[in-house]
Amino acid sequence: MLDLVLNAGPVVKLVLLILLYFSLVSWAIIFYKASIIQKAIKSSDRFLDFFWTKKRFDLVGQGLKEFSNSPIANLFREGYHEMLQLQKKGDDDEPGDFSEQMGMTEIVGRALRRATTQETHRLEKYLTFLATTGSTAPFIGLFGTVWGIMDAFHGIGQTGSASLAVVAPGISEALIATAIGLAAAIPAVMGYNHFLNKVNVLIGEMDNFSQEFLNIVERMERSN
Amino acid sequence: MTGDRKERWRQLQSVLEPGFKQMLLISLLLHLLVPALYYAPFFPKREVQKPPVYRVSLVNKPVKNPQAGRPEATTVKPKQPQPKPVVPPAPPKPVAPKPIPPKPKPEPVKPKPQPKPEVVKPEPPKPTVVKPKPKPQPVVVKPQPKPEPVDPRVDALTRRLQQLEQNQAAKDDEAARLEQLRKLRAAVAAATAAAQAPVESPVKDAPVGMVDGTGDEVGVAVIAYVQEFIRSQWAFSQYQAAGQPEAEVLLSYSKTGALTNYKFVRKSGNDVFDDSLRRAIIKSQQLPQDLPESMTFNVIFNLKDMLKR
Repeated sequence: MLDLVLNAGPVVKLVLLILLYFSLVSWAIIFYKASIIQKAIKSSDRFLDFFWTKKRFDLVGQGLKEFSNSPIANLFREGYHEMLQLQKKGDDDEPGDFSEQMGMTEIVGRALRRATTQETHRLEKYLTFLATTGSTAPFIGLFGTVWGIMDAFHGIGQTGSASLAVVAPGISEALIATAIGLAAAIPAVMGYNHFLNKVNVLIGEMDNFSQEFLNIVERMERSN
Repeated sequence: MTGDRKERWRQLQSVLEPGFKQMLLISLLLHLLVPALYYAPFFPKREVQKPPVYRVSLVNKPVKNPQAGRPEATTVKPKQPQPKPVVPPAPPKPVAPKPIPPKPKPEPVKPKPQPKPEVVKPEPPKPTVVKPKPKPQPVVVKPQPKPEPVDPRVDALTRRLQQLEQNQAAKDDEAARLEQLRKLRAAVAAATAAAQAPVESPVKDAPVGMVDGTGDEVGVAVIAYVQEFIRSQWAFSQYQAAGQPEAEVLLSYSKTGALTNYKFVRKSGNDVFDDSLRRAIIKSQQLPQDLPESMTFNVIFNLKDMLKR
């Protein structure tokens, strides 16, 4: 197997190096994302339990440090911070201030949307590389194979012999590029689909939490 | 809080997030592990028993006294349908006997004036032995009986006996002719069947001989053999086949079948063809078998002939 790689031409070797880089980074991303998303799901799960057991925002805000990996906890942090800012501003502002005209729900809603976008970007980071690997690695490998076969046939033409013993090694060396391209692409595509599904679930959870949070804020606003 | 946001922004823009370098290292180890496991000694490698490869050269083995070359092979072909020429002489025989039956008819008429049957006795063998000459007989017979007078009873008996013998001989002749005709018909039928039916080997998948061979050659001439071997090593693109180039090469082979020298006696004028021939000759430096003796001979390579094969 190793001699196939060592005997390959320079272009095929370059292609193999590129594919090795793709594979290396893809697997690193797969491990990294698996770890990050797993932590985010578990931490969010625990935070939601914690949030619904504590019925006061200030108590929830005090225990946020335990849920640093949870994107939902980060949403709460942004929303709660915005609320505190508004309350603080409302105490020492004159009447007719711009923030008073807008209403707390709208302002907190914006903060939550911004935080959701930020968390989505964080969760989706590096996934594009997996998608790129999945879609281009087979083609890069195919390029290496085509080049290798071209080389092999050129050699055959020069030697003037077309026996299987002459043709087969060149084609075999060329085909290893396609094999490695597929080996890099298959886990990348599988990882991309898996993590995208998990991220979509988390985005849905964040949207749900935002709606719940805004409902609570609006109820508080009306009671005041 | 602003500092926290800035930190998140930086993290989002960074190429390598904290913790990602560790994952890269793990990935690298994993990639090193795959070939290490492949070549690891503790995984017993499955020994694949490769079946023996036999290389069979489909050119004929040279013989010391080559009997057949191409010209002979073509001349032999017409000889094959020999059974057919045997048939034509046969038909005249059955045709010739047909006029025989009328012979006895005139004979019984003739004996009436014949007084001497004794002289007639030697005559009966004649018509049976010499069939094509029945007519002169009566001419000869007529004058013979006249001079010798014989007893009429004996004469009648003799004539009767003669007639019976003739009848018997005619029957025998007819039976022999029919038998001969039957044999000839059977021979013709067998010959035509043999010519039409394809020759099948008793052994299935048995190797066949030369495509253009007649099957009656003992071997192939050394020159034809060497030419065929060189042609088998010859590679030429049909797209470059222009005209009918023909080159003559002087080849010297040692007894062990090794090429000792070669020289273009006459070049074809087509460089591509000459180069392809040179390559093929160089590739056939060593013949698969020994030759009867060290040989030097001229071989003519014709592109059209070589492409046909």
